[in-house]
Amino acid sequence: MSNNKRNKSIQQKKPEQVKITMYDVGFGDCFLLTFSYAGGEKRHVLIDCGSSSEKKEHMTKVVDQLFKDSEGSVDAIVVTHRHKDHLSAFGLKGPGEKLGKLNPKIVIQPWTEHPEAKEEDLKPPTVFTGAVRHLKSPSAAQEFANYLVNYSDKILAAAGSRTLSQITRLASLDIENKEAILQLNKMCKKHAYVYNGSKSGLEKLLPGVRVSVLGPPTLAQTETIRSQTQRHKEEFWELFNRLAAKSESNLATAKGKSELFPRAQADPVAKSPSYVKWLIRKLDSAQLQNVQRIVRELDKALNNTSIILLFEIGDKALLFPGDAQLENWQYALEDQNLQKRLSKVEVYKVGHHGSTNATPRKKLWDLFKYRNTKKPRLISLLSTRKGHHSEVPRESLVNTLNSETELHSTEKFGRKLSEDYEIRI
Amino acid sequence: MITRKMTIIAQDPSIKDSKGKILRSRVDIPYEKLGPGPRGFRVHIVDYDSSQQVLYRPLDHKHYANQDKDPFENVPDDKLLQDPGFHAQNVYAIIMRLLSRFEAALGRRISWGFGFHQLHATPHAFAEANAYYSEDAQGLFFGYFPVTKGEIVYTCLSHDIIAHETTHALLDGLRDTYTVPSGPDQAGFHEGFSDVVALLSVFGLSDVVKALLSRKQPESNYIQKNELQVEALRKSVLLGLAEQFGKEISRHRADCLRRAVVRKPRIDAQQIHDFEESHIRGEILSAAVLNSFIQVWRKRLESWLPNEGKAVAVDRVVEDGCDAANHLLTMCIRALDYCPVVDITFDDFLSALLTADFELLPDDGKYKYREELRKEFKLWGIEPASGTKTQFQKGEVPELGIWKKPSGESEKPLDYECVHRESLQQDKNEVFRFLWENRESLKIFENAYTWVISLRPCMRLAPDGFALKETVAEYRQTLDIQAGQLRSVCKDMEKPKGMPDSTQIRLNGGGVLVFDDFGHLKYHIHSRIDDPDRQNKRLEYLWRNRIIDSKKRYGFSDGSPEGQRFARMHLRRDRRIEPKEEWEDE
Ligand SMILES: [Zn+2]
Ligand SMILES: [Zn+2]
Repeated sequence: MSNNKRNKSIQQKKPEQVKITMYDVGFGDCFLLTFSYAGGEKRHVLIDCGSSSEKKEHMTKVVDQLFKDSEGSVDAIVVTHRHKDHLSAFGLKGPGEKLGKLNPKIVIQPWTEHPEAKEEDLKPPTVFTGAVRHLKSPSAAQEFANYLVNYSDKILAAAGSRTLSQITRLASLDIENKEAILQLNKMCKKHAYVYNGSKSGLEKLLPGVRVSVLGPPTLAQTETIRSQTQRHKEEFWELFNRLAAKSESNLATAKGKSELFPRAQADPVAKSPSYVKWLIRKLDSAQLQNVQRIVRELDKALNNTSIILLFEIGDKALLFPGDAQLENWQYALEDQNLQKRLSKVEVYKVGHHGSTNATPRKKLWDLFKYRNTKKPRLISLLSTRKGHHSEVPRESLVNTLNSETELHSTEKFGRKLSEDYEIRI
Repeated sequence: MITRKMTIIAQDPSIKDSKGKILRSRVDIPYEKLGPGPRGFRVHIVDYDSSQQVLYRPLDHKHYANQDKDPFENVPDDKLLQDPGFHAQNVYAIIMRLLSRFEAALGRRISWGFGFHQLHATPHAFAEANAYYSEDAQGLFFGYFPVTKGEIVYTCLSHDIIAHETTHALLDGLRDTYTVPSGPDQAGFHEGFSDVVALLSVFGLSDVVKALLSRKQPESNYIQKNELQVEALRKSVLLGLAEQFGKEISRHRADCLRRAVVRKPRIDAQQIHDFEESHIRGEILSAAVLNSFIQVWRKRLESWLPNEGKAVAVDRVVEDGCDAANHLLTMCIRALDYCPVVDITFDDFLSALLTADFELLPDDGKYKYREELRKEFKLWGIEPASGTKTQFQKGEVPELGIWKKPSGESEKPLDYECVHRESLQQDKNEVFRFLWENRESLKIFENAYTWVISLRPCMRLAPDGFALKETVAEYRQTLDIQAGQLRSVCKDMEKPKGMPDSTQIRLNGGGVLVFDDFGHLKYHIHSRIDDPDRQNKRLEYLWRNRIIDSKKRYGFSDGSPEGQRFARMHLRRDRRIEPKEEWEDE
């Protein structure tokens, strides 16, 4: 049979089986979806490949395994959002190049990653077709994150070593990830930048599968995300960036000298009276709390750009929400028709490594009808590692997943690198 | 009182006078021997920048030839903006001016919320677009941020932001219970009240009002009569200020003012879900008071506007506007002494406003301040908490909405024999004895923890020079119980649907006792701890919005970390919380 003919015949088919492979990447996500059609035809979709807890050595093993599992080629790569724990492997020398050889026909990212999307855009730019792909210049948020990763110990006088490492860890999720983005850009010509209600880019590649994009919403669709970005602009703003541009030595001399009032006289803190010192300590710790709050909010803002994908084959449904948090979900969950479709979910990739507000309790969780049932029983897939993000995974959520679903967690993998879960259609 | 004049920026650097210079004002503040900072007996400016870790050398008035003279009177604009010393003076002067405004209105000294005498203020606290009151640091923090290349915006140069934050600190000193979780009104009150005070104190400056009125013809000393209609005044003055607020510096503040003016009042506002969000709720309060301000101003103008001619002297119009703003500001501040100790509602505040004014001016006068307030509040569905009927004993002047006399509360007459009248005005123990002996007549719930929190003799002055002597005492009650025991407090008390019996709850109650010069009880503004109506509503609100402290208890605190209560309050502006969607660990 010629290749062409085979493709034609598959277009009328439905997959007979879906296999999901979950890789242990520590704190991060990496999933391979394999759709098998009658006659042995297979289609592969890779969703994310990154880790914030694992070193290159481990990621090399993961990618090697992934390469085998996909027989050296995938049809599409989905990068749900730009956090390190979802795309770091693409930027690593070695694993990144190997992933490049997978030859995807399309790379799918949220609309906010569109090279021409601007921070103030309400809607995604009309689909990008230019052959030359530019790198987006880093956003203020990324520069802020870079700055914190490099200098937090110098500017946060009040921070203890534990707090500092918490801040740095959270900020390092949000850094530019330039190498990874470059690699994704040159991997293939075709890119899709998706949003709620848009085409997924997988239509032709997965016959018999209905793929819906539930998130992220565009700013025109929801004001929630808009007000968030507005506020962030005001909060972390450019002075930090200006400081970030300085070298370390510059920073040291800047101490005790004002950028705001170059002509003003400054006094040494050490020689100030004790009641002034008392207040300075309070101010330093207030500043620290402010920075902590901003870093948390930045992390959340980027999570809320996550792609949420719903795969439906016949009456089976699989849900992959990346790290989407409540604000991202909210827009999609207004749709009553969608609520019905979501009730049939049989495989749920637990949102944001099991955090407190990525699995909306009333609006989403309560919809799933295969909770607490015997057959079929909801399969939940949790890719996480304790101690890398405050209170993730959330204990009460894990307990519920344990008692009401068939829970598979990478924390229980032991020395295994991956596990397969097969769904017969 | 001996005063001194100090230069301040009238609103913020973006508001210019007719010659294109920054609009300034020279204000009177109490004279004192200032230390470096300035550091005075109530305010201490420490100019430390935590983002850059720079401690600026404090402004020291002693370094000037005449240390009692205002050193910035003739300094040109660009030098003013570039001098951190001026920033320090600006903050010092505006805080002191507002503090003396509060003390004059209440007729006594007042304390900061944290219990010490000197409030810290930091003009360049951090590089962030935020300014807030931190009770933990006993101070006000003002941030700064760049808007375009090189241009930096200082929140410490915005009159309205300084006044707003200072009001938080003052209100916290007068009613520290108003940050305790209660209901939507109380959550909105801190913001709404701070906005009202900040805006009225800006409108009390004739330089600002004149600049707003003369925007069309900056050089003219006359104003067209058709520009003095209610709608025209709302546009030129209220919206005018919103437009002129520095684009970045006070964006939130401008939006709030604009919405307060533009939003159509609706009588069912308090039942609507959207209005439950604390900032929107607070804007109802600003809307009602600011619109009353315009109405009263118009009434004052009508009393003298000539029938003939098209234009009148702008100065006289300005004077009337400032008088109206100042009178309303005094009323609002004075009202605090007549506000309930816990769980304030806007209905309560209206009754407090009316009572405070009535006590000094039994006749509403020709400008009808109280009538206008009743009208404007009613448009939002806010009616006096004391009831909508006048129920007065014979011989008294009846007026709608003022608090009822205590004798109306119980059949039993009060017993004064048990206490010494004189000590009653000086000694908290004596006040407690009075409460205890009269607990039955005053309907005070016995089985709660009860204590007197303050006792304050005051001397309030009416515009005509009449002095009113009062003594204000406040007591509080708390009761910590489990949800399952609510019925034991009162049979009509109910826990919210779905709340487990073992849930820990704190109920609050208390009252304000206002004694006249002879030691007789004039008002008892009582928030009964066993009031099923108030408690049920509050618990339902806390439960629905899942407002809990770190131990998952209801009604204790909202769980904000120490020192960040107010920082968060301002940032919460945009957030819609849907707490029930989250996974909580027990
Ligand atoms: Zn993640
Ligand atoms: Zn405020």
